[in-house]
Amino acid sequence: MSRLGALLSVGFKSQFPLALLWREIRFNRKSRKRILAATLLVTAALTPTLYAYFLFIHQIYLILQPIEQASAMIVLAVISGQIVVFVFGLFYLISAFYFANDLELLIPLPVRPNQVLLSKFTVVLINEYMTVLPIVLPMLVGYGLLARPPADFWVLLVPVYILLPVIPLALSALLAVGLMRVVNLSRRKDALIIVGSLLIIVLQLVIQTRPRGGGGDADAFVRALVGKDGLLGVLGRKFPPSVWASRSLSQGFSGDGVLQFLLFAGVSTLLFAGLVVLSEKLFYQGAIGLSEVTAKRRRISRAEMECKISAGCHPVRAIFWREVKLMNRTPIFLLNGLLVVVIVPVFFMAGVSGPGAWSSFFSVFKTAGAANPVTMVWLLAAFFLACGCLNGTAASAFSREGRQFWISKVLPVPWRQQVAAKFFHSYLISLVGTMVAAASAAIVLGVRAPVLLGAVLLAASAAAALTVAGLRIDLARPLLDWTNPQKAIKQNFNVFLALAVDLGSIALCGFLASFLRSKGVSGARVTVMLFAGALLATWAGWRNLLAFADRKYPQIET
Amino acid sequence: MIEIRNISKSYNRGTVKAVDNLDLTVNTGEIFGFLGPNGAGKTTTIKLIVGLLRPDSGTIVINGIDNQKDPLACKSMTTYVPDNPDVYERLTGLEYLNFIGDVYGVARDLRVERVSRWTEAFEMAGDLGNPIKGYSHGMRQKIILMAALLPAPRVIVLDEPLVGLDPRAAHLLKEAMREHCDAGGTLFFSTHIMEVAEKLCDRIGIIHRGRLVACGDMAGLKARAGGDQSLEGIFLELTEK
Repeated sequence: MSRLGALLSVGFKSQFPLALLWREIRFNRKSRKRILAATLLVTAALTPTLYAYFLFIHQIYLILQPIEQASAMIVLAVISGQIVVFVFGLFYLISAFYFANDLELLIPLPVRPNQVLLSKFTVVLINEYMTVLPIVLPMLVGYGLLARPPADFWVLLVPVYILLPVIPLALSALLAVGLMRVVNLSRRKDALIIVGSLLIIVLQLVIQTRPRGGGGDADAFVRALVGKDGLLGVLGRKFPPSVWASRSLSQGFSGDGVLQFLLFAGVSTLLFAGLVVLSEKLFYQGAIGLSEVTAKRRRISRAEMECKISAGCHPVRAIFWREVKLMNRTPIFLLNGLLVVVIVPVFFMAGVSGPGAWSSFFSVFKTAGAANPVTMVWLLAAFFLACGCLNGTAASAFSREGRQFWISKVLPVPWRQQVAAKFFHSYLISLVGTMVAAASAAIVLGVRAPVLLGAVLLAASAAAALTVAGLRIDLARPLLDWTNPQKAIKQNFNVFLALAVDLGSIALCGFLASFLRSKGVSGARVTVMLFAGALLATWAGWRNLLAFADRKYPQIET
Repeated sequence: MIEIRNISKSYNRGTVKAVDNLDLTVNTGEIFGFLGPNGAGKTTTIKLIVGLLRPDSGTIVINGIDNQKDPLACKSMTTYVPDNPDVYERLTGLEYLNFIGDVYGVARDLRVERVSRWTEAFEMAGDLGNPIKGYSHGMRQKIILMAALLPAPRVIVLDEPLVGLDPRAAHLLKEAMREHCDAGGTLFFSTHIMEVAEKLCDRIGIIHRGRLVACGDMAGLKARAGGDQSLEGIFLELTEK
């Protein structure tokens, strides 16, 4: 086996332990039951979400088809997937390239820097195929089934999907390698990683939302729409590779379709080759010595030390602050937890406030909302809840402790108090997300105060229930033997399971509310029922969580 | 006092017996040294004492309290130092000590007194304000030892505490261990260093393949070995097969 092949093999085995999973399924009846239960739970949780998504896709088709713009669905799918890869791939790549503990073993090996980087890049790429799958594939398959394009579409779908994350991920990788080269020169590495990543995201935000020539003008927008696939071009101007991919799918094996595909594949290959060349020169310069603490060591005087020795506090408070410090000082945890709840609503709102089709959707949303404020409260509450809870904080609360979990186990603090401290921390983060989303909505959509307050209260009460659910999921099977912090939060199955449960719960509440309205129950009454339901779910979930903590904590052996 | 009664612990669904029907008493005021080859069951026994593992059978009683029935009461009077100094890297040394002080309920004046004492003894004054991430292996070991000594517990359990410590720190730790037991505390520790065990321990236990193969003071062990053998000789003889 070649050296690159060996690196890839080890990378796959450690990232996707399929052989281990297969062994568990074959030989361990308890594991088999657990895996089956998790699969059923994920399926049950995702079914209402997927159903709602397909309804949404159908609605989009019904709007676009009469004006001959149905192919814009392709670019919506492609651009959504590529933006997700571009924005969130950056954190993922920084973690995989530079914070995995296996780097200390790989650097001394007689392999080239770009071979190490490429093996890691490939593993991330495989992960990204799975990440964008639920975003991209339903929309593309929906288009294929509804618009009935020629067979070319289905043939080209496979290579386009394979190439889809390559450009954004290679761009993110180039930015990551450049950023970490600079970071490694600095004394304050952790801070610079966070600041640098945020700057790159802000830059992406500016590029995504800045008006293009004539794009912000309503007449120009209408002019651009005229003609088949006009909307595709308008949307794709923000990220041209999405146009190349989309046109190759919509035009199939016609002359222009092939040309667009070749352009898409060619640029993907070029960027990949650029990464290979650059990583050979810069990868190790950014990686070697990164773990060293070079910040100035400060000697504290006895008086200063005495001053800093605390007077003591309740164990719940002490553990709460431990959680805050450990989360905020670990770049990967901070980026995937707290910063996600701040970035996502701002990014989303800035995106919809710019020119383009999404802003048109939101004009309709605002008009409909003004006519029906209760529906507006529900939709906003769902958005706030998604912004506050769709991060891995609660569902990785125990996993994040990793090998230091022994400390929690020997502390003379009741399990219930330890769980309570983790709940307060996770809930605080979801409340931050809710408030940032509410502030963004108030500024961008100009939502009235009573509607906003109603939505915030509904989202905050439901967020408590979802936080409890996340903690319950992670406590059932915490992932404690990770070597790369990314594994504890982003690649943790518990986080995925909790996201599925969160999305499923939101979709289920939506269906329930619609059903009750269709049966003649007033909007205000349905809102009160949703609020009461969230409080009841929190209360019941909390009691269950505490009782479960008493049983489960002693069983966790470290 | 630690009373271990017929403790057994196995892994891999019972196929690997790490500790097999262990019966042992460590008296109050005693330094008890626990010896054994790699994989003999030392760390498993220690983890059973501090509640990190659950026994398959048997009981462990610490100062009259069963550690399975009232684990919180046992933990309040016990501190533990693991063989691998895994500790919160993102906290500073002082933040970690404050955290331990908070959860064990150590009063501020006692914290100031004890932290100052151990900081000076272990020469950590220059590092307490810095993140543990930048500490060497030995410094991490020192901060965990300081945290274990901070609540002044009645029972201290140490798993190979001398590994990674410089000679001065190792000497200070041995003095602290003696001082703790002279003040009425109990100390249980594992080690591979025979000289330390021979000189420091009031009694020694040797575990091999999960079973206690010898236990007693140095004189007793020598008498049992039937000669004037060193502890190393006795150890090698008992763990040969």
